[in-house]
Amino acid sequence: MAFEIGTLVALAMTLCVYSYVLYKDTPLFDFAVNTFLGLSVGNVAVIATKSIQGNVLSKISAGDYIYIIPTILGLLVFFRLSDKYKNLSRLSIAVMFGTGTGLGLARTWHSGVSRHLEGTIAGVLASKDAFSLFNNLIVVIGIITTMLYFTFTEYYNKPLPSFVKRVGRIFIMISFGAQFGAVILSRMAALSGRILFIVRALGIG
Amino acid sequence: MVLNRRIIYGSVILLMAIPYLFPIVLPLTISDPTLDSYNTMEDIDDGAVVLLTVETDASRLAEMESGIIAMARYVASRNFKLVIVSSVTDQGPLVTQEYIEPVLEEYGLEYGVDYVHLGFVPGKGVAYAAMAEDIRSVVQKDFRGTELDSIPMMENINRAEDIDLLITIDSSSGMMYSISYFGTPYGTPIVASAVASCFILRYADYKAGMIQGIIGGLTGFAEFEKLINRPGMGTAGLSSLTVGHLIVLGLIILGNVEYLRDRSKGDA
Amino acid sequence: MSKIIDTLGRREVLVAVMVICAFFTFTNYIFLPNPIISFAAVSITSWSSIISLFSVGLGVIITLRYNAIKVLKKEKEWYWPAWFLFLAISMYLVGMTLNTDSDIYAWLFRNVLGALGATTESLVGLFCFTAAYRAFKVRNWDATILLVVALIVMIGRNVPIGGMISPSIPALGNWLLDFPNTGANRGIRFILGIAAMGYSVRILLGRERGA
Repeated sequence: MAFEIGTLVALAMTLCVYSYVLYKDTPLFDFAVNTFLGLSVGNVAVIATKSIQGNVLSKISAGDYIYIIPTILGLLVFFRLSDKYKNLSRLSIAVMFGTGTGLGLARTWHSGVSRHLEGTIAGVLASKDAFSLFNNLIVVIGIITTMLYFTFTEYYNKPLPSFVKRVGRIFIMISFGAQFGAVILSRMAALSGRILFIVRALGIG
Repeated sequence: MVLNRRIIYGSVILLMAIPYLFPIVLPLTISDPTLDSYNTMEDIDDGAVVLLTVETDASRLAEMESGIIAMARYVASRNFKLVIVSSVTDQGPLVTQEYIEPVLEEYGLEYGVDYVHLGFVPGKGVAYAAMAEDIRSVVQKDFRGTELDSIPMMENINRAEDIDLLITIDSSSGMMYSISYFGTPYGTPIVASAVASCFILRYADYKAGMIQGIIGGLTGFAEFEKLINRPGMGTAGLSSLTVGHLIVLGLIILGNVEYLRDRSKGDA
Repeated sequence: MSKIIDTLGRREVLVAVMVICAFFTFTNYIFLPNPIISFAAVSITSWSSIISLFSVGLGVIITLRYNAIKVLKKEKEWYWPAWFLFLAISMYLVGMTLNTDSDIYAWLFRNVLGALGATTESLVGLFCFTAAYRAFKVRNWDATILLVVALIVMIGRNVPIGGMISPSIPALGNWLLDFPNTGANRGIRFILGIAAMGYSVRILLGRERGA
């Protein structure tokens, strides 16, 4: 069986990481972790530099001088490293914060609340038979009891009939169970993919 | 009974490797989210402008690789005009370069005419919002350093209204930003190819019609491979996945039998 | 000069900047587009994206500085930070001089970074097995419901084995996902959404001390 150097190296890296679980915490694992971190940080730096060169500096050199303003604001961020001039960086962070907050506020209402409300009401109104109406009412009960479970706590001294909280808790557990099942699929698939690589790298599959 | 964890790990790796050595084909039913994704993409005309956001990094490749390759094959076969960009993860451009572009070239697509790779636009949600309004406000050159205005394909593509379909290859928050800044305000149809953990988080969005379809997890990728008639790593991994799930099921049952037995001994 | 720096760092100035940015972006998103507001919103959004680029650079510098200090002070196991620095700088030099589509860069990404990242992610898959044996116990009714639903989803939707046993298993799995899970999920979304909106308004009013 012919081995490519790249495949051999990838296999060696894989076994370095697996040494942690199949044997114990060894220098091989530390080597793998630091290699991963080093290359990741290097890659981030490359991508960021190329983006600045291609999308910011090129705009300024093409005559779009208004982009000097965000460039200066961006450079101010580096003053975070200085104890004396740290305050200068807060302006840039304020711009990012404000933009993100404005967009987030709008986004949260539209995509997080109103569209889901529409979907719920439309589902109930569009029910064609008793079974689909029952199913859509399950959704409505789930929404209401879940919200009440979180909102009406002992702290506010507004006691709810305990069965409402109980129902809300059941819905939450069902949701967590479904998420748990999906996460198991995700992790198992990652493991399965890696095992396939090992099998192919060893030339036995 | 105390099971040494090394024995568990070693046994699991060996058992999950067996289906790769002795392949078993399992019957597969196509689920609604995958079918809806496929139908949504089929309803888009050939030659339409598709924004492909690649929001996955190297860590998730073990799960996502089959989905990435299958989606790349599908979009290449449809002659879509592809605009590829990443905003959530800085490794997206490299994933595009290493896994998607080779497939596009294999299908004979020409760079600058059939597809363009814009690289990484930082800012996550802010970047998506900016691109929806005016791509050129955040991207001047493509990933190869060519001015966008000198690329023939990009002549009439600058905002969300110019995009006919958004496909997101997602292992983090690509779907969320696609829905918020393209789907909800502009009505852009969205299809996602996502890891299972993101699939379940966005399932309520799919049920509300905010996203037209999600191909979720390795099972979803296998279903999509079946729909496009190109079995690949997703289909191959299904039997190994089944073995893994059965082992987990067995361990849960074993652990709980022991727990209940110990609890009844304690009560007695 | 120090007066200017202090003024720029004052809470009132920062809140004013935040409110102006939020006003344009929020208004442009929610209401009918007005050319002036639209221009301002697009500009502010693109500027914010550009500032994020530099923030990424700041993160890189902080990480490099942290590890460089460990190497210079010859702290315990200083050779690992040294190896980290060597790789980070080498990767940067390769990427900037030879470009990211060069054979060396692609090789490093595929065979080293990709392999390590994917394997690290797969470790969690292995931990699921010991967790399944040790931690997933039916201690009470809530845990029982969670576990039963998880098992139905796992066997019914994740893999085809449920369908091979009985078609009602995947049907039940789909039903659980489509209705009870959607209901709970939406309820949590509404709560989180309203809380997030309230928190955003508090930040913009300058009432949130931590922001």
